[in-house]
Amino acid sequence: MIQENEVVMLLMAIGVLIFILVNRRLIMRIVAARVLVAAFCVLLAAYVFTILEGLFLGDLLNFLEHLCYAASSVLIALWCTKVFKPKEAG
Amino acid sequence: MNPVAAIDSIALFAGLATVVVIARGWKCRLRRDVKVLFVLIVAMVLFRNFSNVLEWCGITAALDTLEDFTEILLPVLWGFVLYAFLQGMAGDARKKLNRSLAAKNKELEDIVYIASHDLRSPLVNICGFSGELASSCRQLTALLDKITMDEEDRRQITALLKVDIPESLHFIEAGTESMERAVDGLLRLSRAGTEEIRIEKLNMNRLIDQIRQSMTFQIQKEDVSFSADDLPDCMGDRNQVSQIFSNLIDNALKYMDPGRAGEIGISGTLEDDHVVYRVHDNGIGIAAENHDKVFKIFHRLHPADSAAGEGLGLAIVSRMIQRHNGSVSIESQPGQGTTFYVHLPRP
Repeated sequence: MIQENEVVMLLMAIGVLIFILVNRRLIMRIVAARVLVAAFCVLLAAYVFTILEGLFLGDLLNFLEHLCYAASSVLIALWCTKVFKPKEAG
Repeated sequence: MNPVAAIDSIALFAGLATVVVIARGWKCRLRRDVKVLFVLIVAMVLFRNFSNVLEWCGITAALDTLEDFTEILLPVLWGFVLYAFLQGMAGDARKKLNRSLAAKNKELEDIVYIASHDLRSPLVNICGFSGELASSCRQLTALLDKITMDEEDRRQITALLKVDIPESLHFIEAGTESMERAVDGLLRLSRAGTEEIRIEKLNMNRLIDQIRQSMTFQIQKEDVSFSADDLPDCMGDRNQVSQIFSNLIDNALKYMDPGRAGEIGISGTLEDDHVVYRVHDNGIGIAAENHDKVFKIFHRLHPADSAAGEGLGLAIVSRMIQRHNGSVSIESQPGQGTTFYVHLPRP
């Protein structure tokens, strides 16, 4: 079963993805941009799996959804270690 | 252990580690708005991971609504944080460009000042020694009359002393005078951009009257009728504003139409946040294609006219007006005169 809020968040995430694609040259100038964009893309994949799990392969897609959330969290943590450095260290 | 629960636990641990990393590096160089937005993202992710773990512990109902809300908010926050990054980069690039332009401008003005200042010494020498040489020629000519020599030799030496050398000296003097004017103009232009200005309320009626008095000789010589309306006051540096209007009037006097009686008029009106002064003349006028060029350094529309100066007067006017956060524009047609519009801040 597809839930409305899941579709809404997927649409919003696709909007952000379009924003990233349109401004990709500038976005790539952000420190460790690849890690940041990867974190978002994995999150987007989680949103897709969330919707798809209501249609078929529920268990597998639920596992992938949670895996993507975890991967996104790890990538965000990694990006933060690269960016949130005290002035004297960076 | 359920593999999904294990993954959620890893995600929760990563979220908590992120909080620690952010807390330790809070004073990093990142813009404050980006930091705040990113903290919100991390909070959402952490909440999501936390609620997943609670779900495995059987506590779900209380957080369901909040979870739905955070799921929708998360992509929005991602959009905001990336937008804030781009804004920050654009702002940083703009600041860097402005700093670079200001530095280049200062460097150019310094070069102009130093070059023109250093050119003065050799010019003074050339002028001085040209005079010495002319004096020596006159002495030689006088001595020549006392010496007995072959008539043909005397004729040749006399021609050298009385014609060739004085003619060469005349060209040297004319050249150095022209160069001296250019160097003086460059110095004035350089000073126009660098000298300290003191902004005060200026009584323009009094200031224009003083300029008219100081230029009475030129005005009478050119047989020009000069008139000024009742002018509104403005804010500006007394010396520079006086220089601006002196240069404009001087320019009008130089380019009068010999075919009709000359007229120069000055009027002014108050507008929103500035005063507009109009300096009008009925001189020879300027073709539309040259309107932008007249404010360029060393640009002369009539290079053959030696009285026209070195092409720096209007460049200095433009530079001084820029320093007052004002602007200058021109309206002119050949044969119909010229009007300069000077915009200066109002009191």
